[in-house]
Amino acid sequence: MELFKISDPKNTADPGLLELEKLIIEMIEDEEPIERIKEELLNHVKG
Amino acid sequence: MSKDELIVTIEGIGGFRKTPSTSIKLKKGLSVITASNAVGKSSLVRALQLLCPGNKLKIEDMLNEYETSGSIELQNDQRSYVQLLKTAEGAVKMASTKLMWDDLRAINLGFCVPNAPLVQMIKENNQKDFKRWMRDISGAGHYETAINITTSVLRETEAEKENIEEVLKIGELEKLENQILELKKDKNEVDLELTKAEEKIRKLGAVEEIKTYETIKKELEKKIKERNKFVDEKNKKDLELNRLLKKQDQIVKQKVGIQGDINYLEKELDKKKKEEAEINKKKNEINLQIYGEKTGILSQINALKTSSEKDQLAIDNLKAQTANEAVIGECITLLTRRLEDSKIKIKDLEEEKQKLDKEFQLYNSQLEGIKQINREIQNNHRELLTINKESANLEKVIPQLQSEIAGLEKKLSGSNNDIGEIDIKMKKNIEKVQELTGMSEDLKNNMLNLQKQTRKLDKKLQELEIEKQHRFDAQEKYQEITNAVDKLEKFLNYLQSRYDFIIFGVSKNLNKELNEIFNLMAYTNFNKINIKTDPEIEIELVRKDGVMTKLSRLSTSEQLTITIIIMYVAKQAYAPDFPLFVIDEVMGSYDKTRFTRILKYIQNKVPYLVVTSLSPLEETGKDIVVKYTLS
Repeated sequence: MELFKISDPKNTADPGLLELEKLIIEMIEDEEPIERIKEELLNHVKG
Repeated sequence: MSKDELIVTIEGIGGFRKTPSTSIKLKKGLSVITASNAVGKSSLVRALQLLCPGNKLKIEDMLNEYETSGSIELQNDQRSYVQLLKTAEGAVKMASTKLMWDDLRAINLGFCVPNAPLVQMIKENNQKDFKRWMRDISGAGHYETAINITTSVLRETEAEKENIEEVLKIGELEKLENQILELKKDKNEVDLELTKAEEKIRKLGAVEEIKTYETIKKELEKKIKERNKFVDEKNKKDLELNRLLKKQDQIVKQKVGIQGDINYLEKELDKKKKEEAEINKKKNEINLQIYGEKTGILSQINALKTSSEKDQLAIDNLKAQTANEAVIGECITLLTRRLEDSKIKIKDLEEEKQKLDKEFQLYNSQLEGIKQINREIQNNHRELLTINKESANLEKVIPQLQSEIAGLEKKLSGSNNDIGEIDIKMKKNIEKVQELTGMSEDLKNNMLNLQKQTRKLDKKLQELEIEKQHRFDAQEKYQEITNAVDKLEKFLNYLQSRYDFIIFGVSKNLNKELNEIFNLMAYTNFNKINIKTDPEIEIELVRKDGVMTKLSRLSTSEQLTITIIIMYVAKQAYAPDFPLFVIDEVMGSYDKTRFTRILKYIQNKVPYLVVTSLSPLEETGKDIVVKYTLS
């Protein structure tokens, strides 16, 4: 359903960013500790 | 089953019994479920809600009061979603085989029912809760958290990058490498000079002489070691000999002492033997005397006893006779006196006898003293015998030891001669070495200097290589951190744009559709409705005269209409794939005209629009009727 005129940045984003977004948002949804999320984010961008 | 149909089957939930089960067909577009009160319209809606995780329904309130288990199944042409409810040992449990929707947005946006949170917010004009509701259904809250976390990580990583930049001092690595190259060049030159110096020294022959010197020195050291061993051995033997000689002296002295003792004791013994003879003689005499005296005394005692007995008898006789009493009395007195005398004499004799016995015992003890001397003499003889044996042994060992010492002295003398010869040889060699060393002194000094220089250069080179490695490591880390910062910045921008899209982008489109429906409502007193995002998220309702109005000021009918519109547009924005949009009939019961307009607008925009409706009075019955058009 084409509902929105303003396009979702998700549609044009790099797959790496989408993967990282999925990982971090899921960790937040699962209420993981902040330090753990930070650690995971850092590992991801350094790896 | 057609692909445009959904079959809902309910067993044992709400007003529905388990047997027979109830099935309702929903068609794409609009399905109006009509029934009288208490037939199960609301049970159907709530049973559908059970399929969505995140619903707050209490299972014990959901089961039919006569049933211990129940289920709801939603089936299309491809798959089926089932939610089971059952009681086990008094406890109510819920289990599901398939879940219809994995997001709690479905329950918030797919069911327009009187107890939906949005209904309460609009009723109370609770903008704060509305903001929270928007953040929850849009997922923007998670993005806010993600943005905060990413910003924090980015700051920390940038700080780390700055630290590495400080350590790295970019551009200095090249300088360092040049420095290392220069040093290596210097070292090669020094090494070359060192080789030349070594060659010169070798040509002088000093090295060979030094080698000879080393050999002689080793030989000398070996000989000295050997000599020292002999000396040690000889010293030990000398010590042992001295000890034995001392012991021998002691033994001789002991022997003399013991012999003296024996002589003295023998003399004493002679004397004592003479005394013994005397004593024995005297003893015999006393013995005889005692025997005689004893015999005499005993016979006297016996005689006295006999006469005493006779006297006693006479006295007794006399006492028995009645003759001349005077004479008899005299006789008795005389005899009694004689008896008393006899007793005294017996006592004296016995005392004398005891005296003689004592004297005899004294002689016996004197004889015992003589025996003691004899025993001492025998002991001394035994001791003398032991010492004599030891002395004889020493007389054998000492000469043997003396001969061993003599052998060692001979070896020592030979060893000293060898050492003397080697010493002479070494002195000659040293002279030659000194001569050659003197000649190559300058060369040697030069060589030592060069060696020192090489060591310094090696050390410096090593330090620089370590420094270089550190720089390389830091550079690698710097690259890694720079990449991480870039990625974090990109990710942060992306999150921000996603957040903006979710909140602002969506709300912009959302407002457009919101007003489109709002205009269809043909309100005469309201101009427009907006979901504002700046500065805060809130619902804004503007009157025709441009004045803002609070939602709580609206009539119940207006509030319900606005709730349906907002929920519909929010569903389209945030949960467009959820197939159901369910409106409980209560929601539309106040304003039929506007409710019908809304349904007409949305019936072809959501996959399945389900509306419950109360049967007209003339159609009351116990069945649920499903219609697929608005009539």
